[in-house]
Amino acid sequence: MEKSSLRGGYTNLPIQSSLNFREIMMAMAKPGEIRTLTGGFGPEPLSISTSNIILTLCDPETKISLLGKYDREFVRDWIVFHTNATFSLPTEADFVIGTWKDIKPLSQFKCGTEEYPDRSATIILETEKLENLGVNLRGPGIKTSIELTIPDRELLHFNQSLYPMGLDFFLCCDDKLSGLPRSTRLVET
Amino acid sequence: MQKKNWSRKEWLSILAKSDLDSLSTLWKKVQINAEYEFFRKPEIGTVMVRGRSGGTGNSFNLGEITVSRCSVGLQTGEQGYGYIQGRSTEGATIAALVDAFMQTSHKKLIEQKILKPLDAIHKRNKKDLASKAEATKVDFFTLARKS
Repeated sequence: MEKSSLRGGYTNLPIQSSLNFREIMMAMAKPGEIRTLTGGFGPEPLSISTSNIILTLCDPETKISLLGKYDREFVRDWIVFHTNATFSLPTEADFVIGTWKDIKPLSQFKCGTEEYPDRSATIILETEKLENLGVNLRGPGIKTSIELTIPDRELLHFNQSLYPMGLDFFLCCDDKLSGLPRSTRLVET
Repeated sequence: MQKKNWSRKEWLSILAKSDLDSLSTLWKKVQINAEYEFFRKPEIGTVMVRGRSGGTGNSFNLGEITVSRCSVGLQTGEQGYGYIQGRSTEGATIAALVDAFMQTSHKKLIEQKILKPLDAIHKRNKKDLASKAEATKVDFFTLARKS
């Protein structure tokens, strides 16, 4: 086993997980706003915000799918040690972790059903840049419109075509986090 | 009686059944200066103990017991896991450290100074309990009835 691969769990679990849960919830409630997660950290290549989402939201009942460079033995070890979560195929996962390149095609993930649109996957998308600059977004939780760097417009088109089914995204970069639920739309110009 | 080398499973089992008093007394005597960090801070929870009727029958839930657990990492990279009966964060920490140091050059020392005495205590306790139970044993004889 790799040396010290298990470092980075919460030192004060009830407080830190509550604070981060609040931030994660607000990120989804106010899409496009950039928030910061602190407290825990996972092994490279997991970003700080992704690690904190895992520590806060995952438990033995959540199925995770690691894609691309994230699908490594020591990343799995770290996740299992701290959350006891299980791993599954991308098609059955509740949480998917990867970069934009890794996750295509989007249609391979659980998008929910007409009766239960909530039975869908949440994609934790690691990005290289996250700032309020780029495409213009609108939708519930956004007062007028907000700009955000997103990897590809296809992501929004995909959700628009499926609504109310679809995928919810967390965009993560370092300790920064932004939510992109399925209800968010592109401002057409 | 010279015991063979303990496997990790065996020494974890010995530690899990130890009580805090004897564990901390023995640990203090060993005096290994430990540079370590917590992977998982000591925490207290419960586990379900399962048993088999008669030792061979169907398994059933006997009941929950409190357990303390802890994980540590030494500076040299060894990882130690401690699970111990009862509510004792200190005991769990010591158990985890013992497990970690059993993977280092301190192995011999710890075997002699901690695991052996603990094992002896367990054996004695088990014997005491068995002899107490033995004293109250009742043998039933069944007579074949003729109708």
